[in-house]
Amino acid sequence: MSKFIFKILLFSLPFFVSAQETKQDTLAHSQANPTHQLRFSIDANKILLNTIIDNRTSYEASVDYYWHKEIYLLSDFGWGNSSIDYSDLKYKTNNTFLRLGMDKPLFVRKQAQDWGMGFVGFRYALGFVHRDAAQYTTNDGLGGIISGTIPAADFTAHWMELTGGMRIELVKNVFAGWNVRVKFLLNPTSFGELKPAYITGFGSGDKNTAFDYNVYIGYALRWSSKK
Amino acid sequence: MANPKLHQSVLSVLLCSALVFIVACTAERNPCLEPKLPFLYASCYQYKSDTKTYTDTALPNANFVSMDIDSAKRWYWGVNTLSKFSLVLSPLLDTTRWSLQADSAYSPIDTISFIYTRNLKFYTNACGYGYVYSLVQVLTTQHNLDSVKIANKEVTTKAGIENVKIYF
Repeated sequence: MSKFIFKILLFSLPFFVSAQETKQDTLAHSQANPTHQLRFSIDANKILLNTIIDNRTSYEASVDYYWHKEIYLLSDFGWGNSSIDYSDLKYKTNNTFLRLGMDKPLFVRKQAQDWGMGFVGFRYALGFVHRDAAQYTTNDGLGGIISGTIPAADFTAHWMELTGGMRIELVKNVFAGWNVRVKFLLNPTSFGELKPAYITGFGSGDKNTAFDYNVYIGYALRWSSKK
Repeated sequence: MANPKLHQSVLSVLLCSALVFIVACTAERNPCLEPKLPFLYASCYQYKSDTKTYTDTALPNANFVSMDIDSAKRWYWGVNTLSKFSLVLSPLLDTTRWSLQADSAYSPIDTISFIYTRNLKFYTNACGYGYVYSLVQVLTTQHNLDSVKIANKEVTTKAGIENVKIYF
């Protein structure tokens, strides 16, 4: 997995270099326009999926703050639950998560009021997962049918994300945009044998790598620094 | 919305939103693509006095029948020239007995008792749970066969691992 992460980082490098090339212009621009922006966003995609998928719910939100030098610091958070209700396996999970990271715009802002952007970024995420007791049934197809219970358990999941996306300001202070994410679970062995089928914020607990997609709508607060 | 750049941006958002439905389709249970039934692989050998070695020996017309599993699905009944058999163990018991007749025309029948521990194994959420086994001891009558030895005690879903050697 580390090789894959390295390749992704290598692939992402040109974007960061491209962003760095614009540093001088952007820096001068930012210093001349010391506006702060704090943006609150919710993931409309997850809300829509909650109405389509009946065995899980997921809610995600994001707060980002425009730092200086064209860097956005941000925190994503969310919660959700899922239920597995198969004939041979039944259990429920719920979890919360917190992501911390930063985004870097790919292009130079032409005007101080232009807050739309394409960007790349990374996240570190922490999830707290609870799995209820699981009911299982084994059937070897030869008359050997056995049922039992696996005790409830709590897990802590760590993962890293590389992300990219865009934001556009539809009307003043109101944003829409999307993120695509590739996620790498850092501690897959901590789940034990029965891995949670779904972890809100990450995806399938069966897999060490996950892809995700968010559609955000948000509102931004802006203010200027007093000199 | 007159800005063409804004149009393009909104379009990209809408296109990506279409992916939502693709993602939604993946919420169903994935098919279980791995085997869940563990087999005990038994091979037959015969001592050759001229070379003083045990050689792989195909049984001429064998019956290999389970005495403790209420299913004939995995029985061998009158099979010709077969030297390797894949047997099943019962997850309900700690001992499973199989009766072996090397040649159904005239050979005496032997009983082989496999004594084992059962271990619950989680495969994936798609496959659920199953049992694998660890052989403890193999007992046998000696009407026709000479002895039985454990070659690999772990009876799992891995194919091609010889668990037991049956000597004639």
